[in-house]
Amino acid sequence: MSNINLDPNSNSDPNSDEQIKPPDSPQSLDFSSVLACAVHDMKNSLCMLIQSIDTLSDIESKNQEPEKAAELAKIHYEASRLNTNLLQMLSLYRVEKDQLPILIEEHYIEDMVEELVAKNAFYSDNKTLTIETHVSADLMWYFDDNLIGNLLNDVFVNAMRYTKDKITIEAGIVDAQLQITIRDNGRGYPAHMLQISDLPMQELNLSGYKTGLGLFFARLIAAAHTNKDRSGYIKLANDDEMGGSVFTLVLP
Amino acid sequence: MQNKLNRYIDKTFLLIDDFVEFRHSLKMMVEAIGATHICQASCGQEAIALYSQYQHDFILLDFNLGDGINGLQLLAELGFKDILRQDTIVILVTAETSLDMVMGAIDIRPDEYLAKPFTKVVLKQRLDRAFEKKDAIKPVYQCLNNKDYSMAISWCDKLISSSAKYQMACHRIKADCLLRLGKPQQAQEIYTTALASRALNWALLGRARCKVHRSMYIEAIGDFDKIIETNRFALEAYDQKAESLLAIGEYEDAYRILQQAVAISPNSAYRQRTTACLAIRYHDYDVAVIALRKVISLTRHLSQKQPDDYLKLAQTLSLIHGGHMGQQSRRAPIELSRLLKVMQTEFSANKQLLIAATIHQAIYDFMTGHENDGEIKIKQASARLEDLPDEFKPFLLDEIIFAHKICSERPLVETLYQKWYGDNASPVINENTSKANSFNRQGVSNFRQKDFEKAFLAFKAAYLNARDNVNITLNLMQVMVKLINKDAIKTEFPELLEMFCQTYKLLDLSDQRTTHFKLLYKNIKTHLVNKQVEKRQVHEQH
Repeated sequence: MSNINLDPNSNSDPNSDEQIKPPDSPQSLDFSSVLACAVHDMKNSLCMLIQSIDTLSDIESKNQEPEKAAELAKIHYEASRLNTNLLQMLSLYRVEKDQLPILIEEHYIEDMVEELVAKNAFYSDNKTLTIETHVSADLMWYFDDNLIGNLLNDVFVNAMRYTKDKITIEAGIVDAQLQITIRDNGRGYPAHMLQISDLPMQELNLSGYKTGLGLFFARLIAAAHTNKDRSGYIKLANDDEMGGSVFTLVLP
Repeated sequence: MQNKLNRYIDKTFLLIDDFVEFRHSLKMMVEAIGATHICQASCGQEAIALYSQYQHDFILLDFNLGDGINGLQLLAELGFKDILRQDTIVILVTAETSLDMVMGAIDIRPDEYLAKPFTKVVLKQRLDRAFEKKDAIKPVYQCLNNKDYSMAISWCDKLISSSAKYQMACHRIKADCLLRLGKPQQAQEIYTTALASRALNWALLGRARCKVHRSMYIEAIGDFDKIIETNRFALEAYDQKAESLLAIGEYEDAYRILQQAVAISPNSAYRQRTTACLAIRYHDYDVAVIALRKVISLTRHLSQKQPDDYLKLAQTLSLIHGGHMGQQSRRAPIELSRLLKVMQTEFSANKQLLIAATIHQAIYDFMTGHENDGEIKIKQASARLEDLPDEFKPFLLDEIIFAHKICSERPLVETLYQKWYGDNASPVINENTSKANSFNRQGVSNFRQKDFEKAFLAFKAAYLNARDNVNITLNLMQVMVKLINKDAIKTEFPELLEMFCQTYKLLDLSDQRTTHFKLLYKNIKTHLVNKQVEKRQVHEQH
């Protein structure tokens, strides 16, 4: 377990007993805390919503009405995206307050990838996408499975949206580091995204780009995984053969 | 024949969530994956009652359980009551992972953290994953259930050589067992090997813990600093660093580090209790009161509830009242009077505590100018002390000493003190950590030379100079076991045993020395009882 800090020079109070709670009086209104509190509530509602959609789709699958199923898949997909966004927002809030714990433990990659695919099967089945995974059963590595799971889920959800009909996930050890790659056969990343993926963290301008938050989150979480003197990173590229986008996560 | 499809059909599930909608939806999911034996609880107390009865195979619990205790505290309580089966699979359901959630002690960690929202597909995968892991190392967990740590170690060795998948988990359990058996040197080797590839948090903490167990305090402090430097939230490192600092007599530093830890997470009774003791030492009564209030609120519904905390709070409030702390001093009697009433109802079956409370009520009466009432209560307490068949508990003696300290000018209090403390005066205790450590070293060398008589004297001297030092206490207990085996029982054994109970209270549940402590304590106690029975039989025969 460790903490990450957006700005290594920040003077956040190391003794603060910060928790998400509404401020006591209007004078002390700290908007980020209010927002975090609201996000927390929204997540609870969303949780119930997603579980209801799940139950509904179970019932619907017996009725075999493809139109309804397709609509439900869409609702499910958007609700999941909302959830991912809220999660990222909460995590970034915690990072800013110096309160985001990172729990690095040993995990099997196959478990995580299986879960990732299963979580999104409702939508990918409905869109009849082919999902291929190439992960050896005994491949294990050290990371915070919650944070990395969220990071990969965001990438996978994007791939489902932009791909033509196929997504592949590969994982392996390269140069004593874990490398996970998610690629699709869509139209690839737009040029401006490829550009900003090379920018140093400080120069990332969140307000300028629609897709900035996810990318920002991914870079932050990857970088927070360190071992000895190496730290994790992400790479964005477009595939020469399949033509689609290639996202790579490297963890030391 | 069990397979992946019907493996949950005969398993028992306990679902715990205060929110009925979530519980209902969770139940539907668990049913959908094939479970049929499902219990539900809406709060911690209900869950504890159900688990005590059925000891379910699976616990799915929400971190947030409303106003009572949280999910991790619930697990800790099951652990404390010693009823949590090692092979029960625990899944902690959370809205998101926050600090509080991952800051629980390492050995009461759930098998899986599951973030809401999740679908039944994900739930099934997590259950499968945890089930397969526990199933693969089942023999180890069975030994752990039976508290057969040596057997657990040999199973770990067998599994390590046969399967690749859960090797690391086996190494981790093995190191833990070695610590529980009081073999820190061997445990340390395992942690060091694990650390060769990367700075794993559990191994770092484990290695530092081994050093504490081996009384290598300075080296351990260095390790804890390294852990804290990279993991600001590694609270166990703060707690153990404080213990090491206390062991070498650096009380102020220990106090400071504990206050930092309390600021990060106030939800540890163990941490708050130690902080309160140090705060009283430095006359920071306001800090002590806050810490003790927290201890009481954290343990009120749990078996970790201790009468000592209530008395300490009463004493501190009296000190605040007697001091010149303005508003706080004026308000103290109100809280004190309420607290004394609470003590009477919550400990109505504890005779010794009720007497201590009466003595304190007298102090309160003296404080508020009700001289006559106070004197009546002191007389009542004295009469009840006469009737008490048992030896005094340390908290009762402590209260008598306290009364004498602040009301010695009153003859009744003086008489009470002389009469009861005079007889019960424990061996003189001079707190001197450097003396304690030097006696301890001497004891270790005597012990190695198998001169147990000398080792006993050295460890006893060390212990009387540092009663809070867990390692010295363990050393003393170990040599006592050796002497008992040689039939050389000393007259002071029973009294020492009573004093050990106080030291035991300083141990955190997650500390492996708790197990070691219990094993040794039980061993000595059983022997003493047996000897007493033998003696009586011999006596009767004559």
